[in-house]
Amino acid sequence: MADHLHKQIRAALVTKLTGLATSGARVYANRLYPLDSANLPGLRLYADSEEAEVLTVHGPAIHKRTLAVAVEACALAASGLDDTLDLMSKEVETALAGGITVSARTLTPTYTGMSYQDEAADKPVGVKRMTFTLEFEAAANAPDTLI
Amino acid sequence: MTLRAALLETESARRVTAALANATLTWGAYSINGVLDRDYADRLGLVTRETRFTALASALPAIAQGASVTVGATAYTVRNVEPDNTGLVALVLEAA
Repeated sequence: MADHLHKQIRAALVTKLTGLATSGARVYANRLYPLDSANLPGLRLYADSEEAEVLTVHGPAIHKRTLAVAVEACALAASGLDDTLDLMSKEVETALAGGITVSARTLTPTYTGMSYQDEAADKPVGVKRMTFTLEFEAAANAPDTLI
Repeated sequence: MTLRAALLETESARRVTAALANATLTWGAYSINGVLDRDYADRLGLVTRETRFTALASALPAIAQGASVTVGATAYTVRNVEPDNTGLVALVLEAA
C-alpha cells in the first residue's frame, strides 16, 4: 500500500522546493522543532488542514479534497530581512506555479495568501508564511491513490 | 527615609554589578563593566540568542536606541534601553 496522499504531497513539495537559489537544500517538512542558524535561510512546509466533499451517492464514496499547505520562508539577518524573505517567496511561488508531481500526475498548488512575522533578537528573525491549496480526488477506502 | 532607601538601592546595584560583571562595554568615550547575558531564544520556531548587557544606569548616561557599542570584540547596536528604576539599566543588543 502506498503512503497516504498527504505524505506523498509533502514529499513532492520537498522535492520541488529543494535546490532553490536562496534556500538550497534547507527544506524541512517539520513543524515541531526549531530551526538552528545552520538551517537558515530555509523553508519549512507542512499540511495545515483539509476540507472534503462527497461526490458520489454509492459507496465507496469519492471525496473531492482541498488540502491547505503552508510553506514558510525562514531567515535570520542583521539587515535586509524582509528583502530576503520576499526573494525566497518569489522563488517558492515560481517553482510551485509549475505544479508538483504526485503518482505521475501533476497537481497545481493555488496560492491563497501570506503573512509576515519578524522578531528582534541577537540577529532578527523573520518568517514569511505562504499558503496554498491543492485539489484532488480519492476514494474513501483508498486515501493513498489519486483518482 | 525615602532618600536613605534610594541610597541603599544605588549602593546595592553598584555592588551587585561589581560582583557579577563579566564583560566590558565600550560606547564612545565610555567603558563600563557589567553583566552580559546571551540566553537561548526560540523566536518563531527559529533558534537565536537574546543578548542583554546590564550595568549601572549612572554609568551610561543618555544612551539610547540605535547607539553603536562593542562588548569584547563584538559590535552591537542597542535596540532597547530598559531601566529598572533601581539604578540598573539593561541594554537589548543586536549583533551589528
